[in-house]
Amino acid sequence: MKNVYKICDIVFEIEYNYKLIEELFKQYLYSGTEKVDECISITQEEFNYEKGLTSRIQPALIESSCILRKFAEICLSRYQTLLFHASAIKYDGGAYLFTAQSGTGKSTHARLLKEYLGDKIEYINDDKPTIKFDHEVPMVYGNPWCGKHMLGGNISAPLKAIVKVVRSEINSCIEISAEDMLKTLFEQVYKPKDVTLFPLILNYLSQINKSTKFYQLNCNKDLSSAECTYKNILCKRGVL
Amino acid sequence: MKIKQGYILKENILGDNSNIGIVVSLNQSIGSLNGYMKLNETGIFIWKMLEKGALVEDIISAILKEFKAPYEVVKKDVENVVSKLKEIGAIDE
Repeated sequence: MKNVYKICDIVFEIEYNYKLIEELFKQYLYSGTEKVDECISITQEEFNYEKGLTSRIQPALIESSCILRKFAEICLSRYQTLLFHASAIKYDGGAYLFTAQSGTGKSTHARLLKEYLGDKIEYINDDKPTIKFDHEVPMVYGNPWCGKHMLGGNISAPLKAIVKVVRSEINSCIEISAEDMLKTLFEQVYKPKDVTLFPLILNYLSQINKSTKFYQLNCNKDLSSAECTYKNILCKRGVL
Repeated sequence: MKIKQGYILKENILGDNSNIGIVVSLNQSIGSLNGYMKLNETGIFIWKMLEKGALVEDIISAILKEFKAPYEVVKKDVENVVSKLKEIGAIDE
């Protein structure tokens, strides 16, 4: 089976074997007239390789991971686009990324923001948003790989800030330097299998550092943590 | 001494005027590319000379020509950077 999808403004023809792919990718289905930029299909060898790397047993999810790997390498090598491990939301026309190691609570924090601010918050991608450089301006795009709760949309917004989420009983938030954020950026950026692409990632991290604000959010899992983010990060732009 | 293949330097990683660089090894398996070594301007200068196969003494005299600093301080700095690069396996003796 195959379908055409438009993800991050790139038109992909994707071949797949499992119906679940259609469900995961449905927001990105494309029936326009633009020509196909890239074709993705998965060999049995690639499927087996991926199976060896993951704890997933559902074949459709393994196929989805295979497609993700190819998607990420195509994006990085030809479209100035990388994936980043974070929960990305859109607020007042700008994108905000909440990042941390798995299990810290970045998705929980995004959910609390949604609860606190309602329709003013849109999910871009709850797990692996895509950052695409448009004339050196980083834009955050949704993609089909948006975490176990499948929270994400086919939307985009310019990157305004990246927030490092740290678990704490008391809520506080400080702006931090690119140097203080570097280790986190380095750890949470999606690494390609093909290491020769790694210098490209470093170039893009440098560009992100040049144009983005960074914060450290120490937060608990109460609604008051969303208020802390709202007051210290989202409202920083002068819009209430 | 020479920098081993598979180690790369990215200059100006912070995108500002500080010219902080990082050294990354590409000789790691997938998923483990999480480490890097940070270098300041002098560190980057040392790295570039090592790339050309320079010896410690060559590097010290080049730095003394370039920057105003006492010999002992420069010697200590160079030895320090070289020993850290050796620790991460970036140098062929």
